[in-house]
Amino acid sequence: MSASLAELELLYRDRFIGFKRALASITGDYATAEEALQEAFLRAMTALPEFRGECPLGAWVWRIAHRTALGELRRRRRHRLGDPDGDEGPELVVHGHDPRLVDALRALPPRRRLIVFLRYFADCSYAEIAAICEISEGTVAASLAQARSALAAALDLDVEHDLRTEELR
Amino acid sequence: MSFESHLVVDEQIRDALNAPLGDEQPPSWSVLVERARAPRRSRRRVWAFSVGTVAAACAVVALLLLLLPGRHNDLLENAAAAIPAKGPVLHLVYRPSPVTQQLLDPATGHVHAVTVMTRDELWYDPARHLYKEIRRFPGTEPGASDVLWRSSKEAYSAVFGRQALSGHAPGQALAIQVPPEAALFSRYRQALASHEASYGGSGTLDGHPVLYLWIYHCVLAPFPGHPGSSLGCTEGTVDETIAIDKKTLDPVAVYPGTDTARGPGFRIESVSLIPRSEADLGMPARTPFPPAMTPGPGGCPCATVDVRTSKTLAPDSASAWLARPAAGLRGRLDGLPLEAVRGDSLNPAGLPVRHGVELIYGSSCKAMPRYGGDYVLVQESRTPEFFYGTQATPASTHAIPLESTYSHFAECNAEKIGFYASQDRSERIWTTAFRKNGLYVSVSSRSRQRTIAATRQILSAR
Repeated sequence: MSASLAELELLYRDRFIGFKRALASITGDYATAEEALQEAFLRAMTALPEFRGECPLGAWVWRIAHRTALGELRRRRRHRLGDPDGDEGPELVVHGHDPRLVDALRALPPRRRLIVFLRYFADCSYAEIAAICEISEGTVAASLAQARSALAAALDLDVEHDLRTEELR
Repeated sequence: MSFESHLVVDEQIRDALNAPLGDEQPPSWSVLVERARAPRRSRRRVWAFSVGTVAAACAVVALLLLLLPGRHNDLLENAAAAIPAKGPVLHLVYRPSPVTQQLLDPATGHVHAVTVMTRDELWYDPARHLYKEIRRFPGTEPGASDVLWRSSKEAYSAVFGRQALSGHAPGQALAIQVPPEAALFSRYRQALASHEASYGGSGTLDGHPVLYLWIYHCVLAPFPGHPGSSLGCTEGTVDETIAIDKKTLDPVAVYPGTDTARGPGFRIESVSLIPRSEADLGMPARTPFPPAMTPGPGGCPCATVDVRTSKTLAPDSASAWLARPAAGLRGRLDGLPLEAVRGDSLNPAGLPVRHGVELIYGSSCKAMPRYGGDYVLVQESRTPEFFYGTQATPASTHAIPLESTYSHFAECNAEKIGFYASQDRSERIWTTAFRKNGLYVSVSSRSRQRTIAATRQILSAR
């Protein structure tokens, strides 16, 4: 199964802003994220005939964007710090966000933080996140459940807390 | 947190993250298309240079890897040697772990949670294709346990009895499915050598440094109602992570997926390879299951359980198929109309027929619940059936287990049922299990409230 240019365009229109916001958590700023994302869509256009549908189209484009962003990041770090492979997790680019939310996000493990950004910025489905992070959908669901509880508590959302995990064994 | 409140909270979190950033529009698509069409000679030159550079770098790295085995590979090799090997049978014992269960009071609709401790012990003989797992509930009732037993031809549960295997025809042996950690530890060294497991980073557990080992696993889930089919294999998925103590090199914990930050995992008490004479691989005797406890969804030997045959029935044939009045049969359930009735045979090959009925209310497709739809699925049988999620709960209906799990469905327009038809089509469902009219009944839907309401409606009917 391949994808058409029309599907890629639809993805671009629907997801570009969300992907940019999620990607900014990796690049550290929106301008670099936008640049990397545009480059990723350009590459996706060229490579579209090679897309075989092994994963959702959104996950495929995200991977290209992620690689592009990391490449740019490594290039910058090499010039600036001499440490191209620093192991930092994705961080929210704070833009007037609720400080409690920022703190709660920082307290999450890096992978869970990325899952949160992919879900709430980019509207990625569980299947897309699973394909991006190379984990099962059940793990995505469980990670989001835990993150949701932490973020809801930070925002004083009125919910009944239940950390029951449902997909184990 | 209920499914409905998830949606509300999701929206609030989404808003808290996105609102400060305001509304934005993506850059023009047509401009991007123009850029794609424009000559990119300089880019190609850079790219060609990059390819050359990368190729050279890869060659150097490959040479280094050959000459200097990685420190992590050394550790993993040593870890493989750390499991005592006195025989061909794997023996794995877990420490007691808490399992939380929700219980529904159908009279009031109130749901409360109880936590029970479980303790698992398993044996696996790969050469003889035999697997046995005992789940005990320490501190509850003396001897309370369930036993799962698998060979390449049948599955057996002390609670559910013999179960049909997915895709199993008489005389046909199937590849035995066991939990990933059992498969790994039974052939630890070979699995590491063939990259069936790989280094997944490091961390700490109880203050002790550990390294993580990722196990890749092929998940073959059964497809309800379609004997012989499965949902395909998700290759490359990290199914479990094993934590290995860096100092002793003993495996110390198992985590689902890669999320090692998610609680304590399942702690390993001991793992060893023992002689057959010391292994307990006998088929278990039937035992009643302790009330208000579930064997847990997705137990590995049971993941291959399936119906043998399935056909569409006229609604008035459902009770005849079951040989007693179907408890959940009515024109509408929780406001949803009856859309389809299926009659299943649930017995393994060569055993007396066990009939079951599936009633689909609301959104359906090909006489099955429609993925993503608003439906209620009622499954009934005269014996507890693992495939149906019916349980050996007591006749008393004061405490009905309410489970949240994931179910797989094919897309309605999928050309092929089974492999690759619906790998990504799994959804969260809520299920209750209870007894009514001497039948074992399970009720499932995507909505927790709908499942509760449908359950109460069935139970309140005379």
